[in-house]
Amino acid sequence: MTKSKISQLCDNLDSQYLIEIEVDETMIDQKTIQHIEQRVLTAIRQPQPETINNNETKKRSEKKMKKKFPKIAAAVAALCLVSATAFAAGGGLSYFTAIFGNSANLIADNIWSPEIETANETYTLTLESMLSDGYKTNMIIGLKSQHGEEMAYDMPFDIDLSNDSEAISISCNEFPDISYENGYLYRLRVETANNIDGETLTIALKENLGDLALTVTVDGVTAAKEITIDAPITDNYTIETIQLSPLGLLIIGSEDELKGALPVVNIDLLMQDGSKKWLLDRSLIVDLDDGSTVTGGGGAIIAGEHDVLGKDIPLATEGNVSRNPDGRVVTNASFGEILDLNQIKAIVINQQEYPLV
Amino acid sequence: MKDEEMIKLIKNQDEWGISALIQQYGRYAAAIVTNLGQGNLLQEDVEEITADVFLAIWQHSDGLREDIAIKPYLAQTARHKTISFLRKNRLECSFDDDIICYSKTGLPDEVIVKEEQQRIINEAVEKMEQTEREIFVRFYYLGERIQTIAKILTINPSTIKTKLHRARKKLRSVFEERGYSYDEI
Repeated sequence: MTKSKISQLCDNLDSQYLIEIEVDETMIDQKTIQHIEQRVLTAIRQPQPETINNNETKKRSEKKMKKKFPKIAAAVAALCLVSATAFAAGGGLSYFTAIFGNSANLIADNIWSPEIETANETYTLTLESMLSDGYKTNMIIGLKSQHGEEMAYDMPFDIDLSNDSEAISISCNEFPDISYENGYLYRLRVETANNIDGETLTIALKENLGDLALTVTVDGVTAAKEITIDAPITDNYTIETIQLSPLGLLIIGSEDELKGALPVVNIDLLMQDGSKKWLLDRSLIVDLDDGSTVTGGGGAIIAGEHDVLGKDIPLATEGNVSRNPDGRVVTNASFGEILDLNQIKAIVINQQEYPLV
Repeated sequence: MKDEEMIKLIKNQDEWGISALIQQYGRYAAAIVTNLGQGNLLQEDVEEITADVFLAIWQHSDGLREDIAIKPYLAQTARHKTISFLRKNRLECSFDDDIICYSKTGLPDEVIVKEEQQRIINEAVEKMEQTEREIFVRFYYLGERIQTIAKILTINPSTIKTKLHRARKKLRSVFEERGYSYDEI
């Protein structure tokens, strides 16, 4: 006589019966998905210690991390190679010049180099420099090991924001071409849907690396402008506001119905001198044209697919689009170079100009 | 991004593929894990198990096929990983308490018994009418509760119970057709 639960018998159920079944996913929020993605990416970038020696570990780790850099951002960094000595002398601006090229000079006054440091027996954690527009907060973080401990972690930090603010995106890359004695320098970027100017942000080492954290107040943010659009862009999609800063843009929109591909439109900037700049390009959204249907959630990644050496490179080189079950669509993108807001006359969507005042 | 494109990227061990898959199906997999956990899992557990699901897909990408939908495979992996986690951590793993007893003389080989069970369960599910089948799969495979199923399908909870009862009867009839003696406890 065999005793069994019916659910156990179902272990052998044919997968064809699962295809059409939609599961209620509303209890899972975007933060959970970000955590899952971070866990997976950290795990797949983690070399197997029993088969790879330390030197190989570092090489492999760097190779994977570079892959995560979008092509355009990587090209900008490659064109701005500066020696480690120059970085040490140049302070915060030098770090951001490596990221944004000479356009970083436009926001030099907003770069803050607090050099806050905290240490335990194993590691020293330093916030070398910081740049934020309130929505996109870039931090240059140094992590040194006291006794040469292995640090092959692409994302060794956990982030916590005050006042229930929630990050919509967290990314962390090692500066691949900068040496940092006994450790690594990281560019950590935290993106939020709300302005975190004046709020505190805690950077903690991952639990498995030990108990070490530092807290900083986000301060001295760059100027940003918000343009109210409140206009239907397609039959189903309305853009409500566009928040534009030297570092990136945040578009808040809504859909009448959650259907079809995620809505993203081409956006240009009309400059004061009458010229136009390419701000956001639809083709940079990974496979939005595939006609696939995404309902009740989901998102897409903005990634540089263009020839980076070509003349026309849109300002928005990386970011994401997310659709919430309530019909809200948030497009969040970062620029590959710093944008001078004073030079912009208007935003252009579907031939319609929206003045930047 | 279409499934086949994500699978192609994952097979090439390109991180964009697994990131896109998580964005597309992360909620689906995490919801299945949460349902099967029956309130016994912490938020961190759900994240860990769901991450394991996608990690398994990354690590076994050679076995993926672009022409086969990935969603059912995700559901199967999520179920397997959740049950393993619950057992490993000695957490309660009882999203149904419907225990059945069955026996048949002349089937001593465990492998043959398993194969026979597989045929029986699939034959029984095939015999169910569409709504009955969906309710059965949601309850016994995906771990959804009666109230949840009732809400999703906009059906009265008592009707769900009736349909589950009918589904169990069909299961019983298939067992008996195959020469088993069958009892519900």
